[in-house]
Amino acid sequence: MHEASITQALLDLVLSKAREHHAARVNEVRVTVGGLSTFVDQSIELWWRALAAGTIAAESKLVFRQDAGSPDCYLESIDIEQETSE
Amino acid sequence: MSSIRVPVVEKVLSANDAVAAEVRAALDARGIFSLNLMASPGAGKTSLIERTLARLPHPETVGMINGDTNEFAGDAERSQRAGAYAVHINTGGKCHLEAAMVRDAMALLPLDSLRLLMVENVGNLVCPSAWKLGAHKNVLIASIPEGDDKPYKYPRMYSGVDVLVINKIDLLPYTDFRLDYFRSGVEALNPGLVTFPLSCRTQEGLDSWVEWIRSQSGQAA
Repeated sequence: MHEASITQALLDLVLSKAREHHAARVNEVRVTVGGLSTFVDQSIELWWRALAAGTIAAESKLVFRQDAGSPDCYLESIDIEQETSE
Repeated sequence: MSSIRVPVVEKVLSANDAVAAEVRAALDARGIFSLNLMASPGAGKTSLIERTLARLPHPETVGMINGDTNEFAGDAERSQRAGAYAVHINTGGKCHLEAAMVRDAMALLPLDSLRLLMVENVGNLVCPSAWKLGAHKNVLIASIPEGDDKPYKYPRMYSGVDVLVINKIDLLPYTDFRLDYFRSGVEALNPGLVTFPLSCRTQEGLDSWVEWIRSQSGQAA
């Protein structure tokens, strides 16, 4: 159940960074999941599909990296397509 | 359209951490000492709260935030009957409290008259360990019937707390709980962890725990 919460936090962070960079679309999201974080990437993936639906990150691909000794999860980077200026 | 990679490198829960820092600042501004009480369901969180309130000279200066996954407010009612100001949080199914829930609940408490705030987290040894609430000390309440392997099964919880209470020690003679095995698991994860073995039922060991709270809170509560 708690992956719903962290996935929402991840989505909020991704969308805020995407807005800062005038993104029209988010293509890829790279996340490091700490081995001691209590979070499971398959579960984050599942919630991501549900929560990101209808946002500019709806079609984005999640790429996970594991960090066995870490208690935290980090958003490492986002790949975005920027709005073209007129 | 051009595709670019934007480096971020930020904790996914950084927004929660920021609210936790706000909570801490609000508590510090009023001189309120605070505890985040975590445990599995049935470890005796609410019983420990009742016993603690009964031993504090000024329970009316204690605020309680009781988190539960539904509308059952029995824990908050028990805290209230024991003399504290209590607010019930219904997490709506969420298995843990988040800093924003604590911040919002604090708005319902008479903060200026409080010296101690105890937050009773949702009973769970996994999820609450990931969300900081802003409390000064994170406390884990273990209990004998849970078994002696819990530090090995829930390392994040055992490694992340500042204080360990071992409740229901009166049941030791009736179980196969190996205190040495339990303690070496704890020691490997959290060396020198401050530990209070006690029994809410027989009240053995409660004095040291309450004395610790009183010394941490400047003898105010």
